[in-house]
Amino acid sequence: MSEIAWNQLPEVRSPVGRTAADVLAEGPRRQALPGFEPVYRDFVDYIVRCTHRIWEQKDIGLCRTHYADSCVMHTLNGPTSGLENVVQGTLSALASFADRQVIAEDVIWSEDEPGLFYSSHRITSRSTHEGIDSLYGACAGAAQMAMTVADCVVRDNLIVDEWLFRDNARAALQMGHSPRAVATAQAEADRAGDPARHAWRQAWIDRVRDHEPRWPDADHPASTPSRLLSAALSDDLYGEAASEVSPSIEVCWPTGRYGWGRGYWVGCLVQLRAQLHQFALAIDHWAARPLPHGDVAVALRWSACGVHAGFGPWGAPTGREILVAGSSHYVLRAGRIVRDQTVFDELAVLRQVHGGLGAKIPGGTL
Amino acid sequence: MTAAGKYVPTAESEIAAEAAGTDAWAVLQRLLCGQASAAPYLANALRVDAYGCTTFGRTDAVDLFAAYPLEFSSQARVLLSPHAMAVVDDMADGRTVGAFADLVDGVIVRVWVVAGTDAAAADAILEPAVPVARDDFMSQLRQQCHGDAIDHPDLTAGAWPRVVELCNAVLGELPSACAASSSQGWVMRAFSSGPSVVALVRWRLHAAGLPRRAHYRIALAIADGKDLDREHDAPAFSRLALSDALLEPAPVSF
Repeated sequence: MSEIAWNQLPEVRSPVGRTAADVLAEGPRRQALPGFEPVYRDFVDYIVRCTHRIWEQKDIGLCRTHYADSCVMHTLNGPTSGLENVVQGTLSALASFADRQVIAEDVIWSEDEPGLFYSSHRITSRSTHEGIDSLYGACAGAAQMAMTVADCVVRDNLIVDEWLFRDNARAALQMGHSPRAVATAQAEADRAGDPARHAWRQAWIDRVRDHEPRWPDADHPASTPSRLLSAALSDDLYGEAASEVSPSIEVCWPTGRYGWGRGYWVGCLVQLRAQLHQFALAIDHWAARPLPHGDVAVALRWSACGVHAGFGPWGAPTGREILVAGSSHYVLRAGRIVRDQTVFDELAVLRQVHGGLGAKIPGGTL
Repeated sequence: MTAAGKYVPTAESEIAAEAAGTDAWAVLQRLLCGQASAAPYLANALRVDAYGCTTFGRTDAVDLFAAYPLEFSSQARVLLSPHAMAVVDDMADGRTVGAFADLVDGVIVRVWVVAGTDAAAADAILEPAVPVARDDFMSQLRQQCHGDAIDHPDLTAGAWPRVVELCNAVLGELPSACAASSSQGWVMRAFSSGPSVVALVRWRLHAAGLPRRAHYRIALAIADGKDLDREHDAPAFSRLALSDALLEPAPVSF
């Protein structure tokens, strides 16, 4: 998958362990980036700095030089196509949450073809609800600080595809809203109007069910996490998978799930899997980069689907087919996972559970 | 500079390390006192676990400690490794408190404060979470201290058994009863500093009665060389800072 080996260009550094001044320091190029603006020192700098310029310095119009006309932004709430929709979406977000800080935790990247870059950008964004928002209504002054992973395909300074995974249920809770109430209202609105607008969801599910598995090369750091995720979620061999992660693994999953140890890691996976029968998993992309102290960062983008037929945090089984898509960032030490930070939009999952986004009960009932 | 697979600091990070890392202890002190002057020398994505709550980003951390400062005395014991720093001190009320910091090129990237829980701070920031059913042991052959020496590269060879001793010794220091055989400890961080060994551990503790509610505690323990020759019933540690009982988050019900 990768044109540049994962451990080449170590001078293109992860943001991990760096001060704000260091991360945003300007300077000469450190990596060949044909077609990119001269201000960007390397691909990590491109991702971090253009996010900073657009979101924090409020030069939203820079989207027009950083997104392709035909770009597609994929989320579990549906795709957004076209550059001007990206601009409008950014404006809307900043009109409600103007003080949004986008703190880069890591950028795990690859060059998948010559000049075609892929980034998996883990961000914790902190913001205050001071405007009026379509989802949350009038301002409440509440703060949110949720993790997001943005995966981007970039060529010639332009993002052509973006997958955005945000811990929106946690953000809703932080602002004092019930995720169930928000998701139920969204689902009710989804059931009105032309159902064809939700066709993207079934197409995504079909792709997951029909996909031909691809795996990283055995010597790529993503090989271990891919294999373990598949052993757990596809083969239900959780113990086998857990035996290959650190016994003191740190686990951070959506909506506040946080714990240590193999048992907790298995608990998160089993909880997801137990709710979804006829489960299917696709690992869509992987990348890895060196971290300080010899650690290695791995990013996996994955999609999963299944029939909501088991009890769990999403409530009583509904029989609807549910799509879940997310990103898992792992820290590997001595080849073993010591940290798992997984993000998916659990609010969008609940929206489907309650009949939104075209999620049907078999037989055709929404 | 470009050895494949090696993370290579560049001039900028070396400058940052010079500014912050040459006296990371001074920067940590300023942070724990809530001084804004610490912020430029902290990692941008600093994470702090203190008083039962978690902050992210250097500015929120400074704000937390400005509201709830923790001031160490000149008698504080500071231990360093290439990648971490541990501090313990005795407060005026007789309680031992501690702090542990992860360092990258001398820059503080993560901090745990092991001290009494400030209820006001915790109440302000504690978040609910989706509860996860888990089996911490995954075996009837239970091993109470979970960890592995290879996860802690700053430990000298042969030091791991002492880390396990430190972890297990925490159980004997708990002020209230718990179902020890159902409780589980994890070594979050450990390093050697000369003849001393430092361990930062997390215990998930089950109540002795029913219902079997769990809470957790964080402990920072130090064993010195002399502890190797201690008498039979003497504690395994020279210094131990132990957090209050920290509650599991309120469960989210969708």
